[in-house]
Amino acid sequence: MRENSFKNCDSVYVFEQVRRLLQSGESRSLWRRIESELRDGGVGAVETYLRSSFKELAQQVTYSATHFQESMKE
Amino acid sequence: MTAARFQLRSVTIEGFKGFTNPQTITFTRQHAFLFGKNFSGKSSVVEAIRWCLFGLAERPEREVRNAYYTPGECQVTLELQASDGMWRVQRRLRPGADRSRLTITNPPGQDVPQLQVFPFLARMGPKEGTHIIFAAQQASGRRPQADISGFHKVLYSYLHLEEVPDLLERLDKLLEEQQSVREDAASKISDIEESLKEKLNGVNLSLEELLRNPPWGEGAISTRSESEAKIRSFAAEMVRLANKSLTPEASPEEVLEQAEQWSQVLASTSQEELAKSLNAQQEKVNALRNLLQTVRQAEKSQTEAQESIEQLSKELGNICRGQTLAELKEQVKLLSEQMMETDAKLAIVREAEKYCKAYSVQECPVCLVEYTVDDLLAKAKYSLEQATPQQASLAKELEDIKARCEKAFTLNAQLQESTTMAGSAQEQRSNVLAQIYSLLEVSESSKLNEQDIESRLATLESYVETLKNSFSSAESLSFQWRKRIEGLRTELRFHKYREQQQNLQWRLTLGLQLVRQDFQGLVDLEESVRKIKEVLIEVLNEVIDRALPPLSSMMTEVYCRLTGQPSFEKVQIHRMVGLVGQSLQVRVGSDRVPGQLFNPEDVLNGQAISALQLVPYFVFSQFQAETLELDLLLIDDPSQSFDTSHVELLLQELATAGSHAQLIVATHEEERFGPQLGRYFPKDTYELIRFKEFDPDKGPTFAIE
Repeated sequence: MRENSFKNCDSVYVFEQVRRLLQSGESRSLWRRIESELRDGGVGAVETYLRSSFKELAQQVTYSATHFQESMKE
Repeated sequence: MTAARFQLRSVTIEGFKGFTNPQTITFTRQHAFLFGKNFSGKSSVVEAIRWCLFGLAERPEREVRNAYYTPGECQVTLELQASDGMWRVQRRLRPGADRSRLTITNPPGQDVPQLQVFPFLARMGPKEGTHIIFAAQQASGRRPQADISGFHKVLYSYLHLEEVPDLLERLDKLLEEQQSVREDAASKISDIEESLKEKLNGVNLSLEELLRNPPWGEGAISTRSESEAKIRSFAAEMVRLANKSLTPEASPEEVLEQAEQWSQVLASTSQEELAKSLNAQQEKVNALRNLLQTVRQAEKSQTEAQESIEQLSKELGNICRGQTLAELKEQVKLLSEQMMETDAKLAIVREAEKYCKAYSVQECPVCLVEYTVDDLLAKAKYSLEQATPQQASLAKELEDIKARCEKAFTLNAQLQESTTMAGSAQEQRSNVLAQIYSLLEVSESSKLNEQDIESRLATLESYVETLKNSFSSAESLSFQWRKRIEGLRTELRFHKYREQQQNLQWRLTLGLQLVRQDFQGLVDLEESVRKIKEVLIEVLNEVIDRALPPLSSMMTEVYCRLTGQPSFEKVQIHRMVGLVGQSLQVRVGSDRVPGQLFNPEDVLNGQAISALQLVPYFVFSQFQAETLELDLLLIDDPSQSFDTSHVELLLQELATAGSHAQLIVATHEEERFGPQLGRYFPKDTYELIRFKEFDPDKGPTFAIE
């Protein structure tokens, strides 16, 4: 079958391979979350999730840094 | 028949492009061929179906609204037949709105999300909608919607890989944005660290400076509690001396401050009083010393005057010889009178002698007794001889008594003067003594002698010395207090610096840990995303490298069948590594120039390029039809660059695609398409829709056959 020429050439396969290659660490758990977002809302949802995560962490850094600076003035 | 879930059954267009009032085109058969001359509105139908499904992602949607149809709606509604009934897809651009809104309603009338109904189409978007192909150049000169510049996206879509480069692109963009966010955060943390280090350095320097001359000298460093105990002890001393009380809750700094104020007041008061007393006693001593000197002077003057009086009295007694000054003066007077009388008698005798000699008188002219001249002269001579010594003696006696009298008066005057001086000295002494008594605050009856006064003066001088010593002691005490306060304050400052030092060191290490942890979280997420991106690229490249050879082969096969292209008969897809991931680019080549590949736009004519744009659909639709929810092939003027023979090749491919897809083909070349349709499509599988004319006010008019 000509179709067999493109077997394991789709995004499902790519994502499975990524899951397999990311066997441990934070990137693996993040990838699991990305896969979940992909299933629920597609690539846009992944971007939204990551953007939100980055924003939250950046805000947390800003908050803790600002809080720290304010505590220095006391 | 198509295996897709949905079949397009009608399109209703209002206020879109050339359409004004709502018009519905019903598709009763599987395929529809829209024929009409240019600018008759047939392309608007194809565009309306595409806009309804995808909207316009890259151009302002306002441009699809019919400018003459205001304030009417701009909306397109599709009716899709499914096994469970008729679905309704409507896109509406509200008046004044910039973006349209899509509504999908299921047969029961419920709204359903696009992703749920058309998961594949929703991912494709308008640009890469290869299943909805616009092969024709637009009259306005815009680029064709399915131009091959986005070929890699078309291929990714057909390979069902489009999510991967999309995800990669978004990850890349996120990472790029995140870089500046991370740098800003790092810079902020670095600024904080620098600020802390600068402060710590300042505190270290202050401590170093303080420890060069520590208040505790060579002894052990006081702890804060020891220093505070010292302060409270010192303050307690001040409390006793100043008769004050401390606020119980006062801090050590406040206690020291309060104690310092009291010590200053105490020192100031004590020194002022001592200085005042010292000045008074010193003035008293000086005055007494001067008065004592004046007394001595007066006594000396008095003694000298007494001695003078005694001497003068003695001299006066010698001169007066028992006589008083009046008696002496009387005696001078008597002798002067006697002297004058004898002088007168002698003068008479001398005149009588002169007369006798001159006039030879016979008698005394006084008593008229007769005398000779000689007798008279003798008598005169005798008288003169007798009277002259006596007178000389008298004159001498008178001279002597006069001298004595004059001397006696002189001595008496001197005596008077000395007496006066003695009195003055006596008076002065008395006055000064009175002042001394007053100064010494004793009564005049005390009868102090010089020794007593000197003794008192010595006592006073001794007291002044004592006061001077006391003043020095007060100054010394005040100095000691100040020194203690300074030492205690330095100790407090030392503890403050130490605490600041510890606090800053803590902040630099543990204190900043939370901020660093938060920052590390940000970095970790960034690293995780970067790692995922790298793995995604790695896998994608592996997949692409595996898919490209058969894909190139299949595309070459379809391309050759469609075009019969003799010059560049090979199609090849290349994976190009770019800044953002990689892209797939289509290239053409020939066995006649092995190893060389060309950009199709550089070497192919319009017909071949149009055919190339259709190739992916014809390749993939052969075996992917089952996966499509809406297998709809929209083609606008596919044959404008084709000659007749190639139109037939195109129809042959379309017929193959039409075995599973629903075709909506718009063309102005009815004369070339129309006669051939029957050869490739069964008559009951297609319908012809002819567009007759276009009125700008009313829109297009058409007839279905």
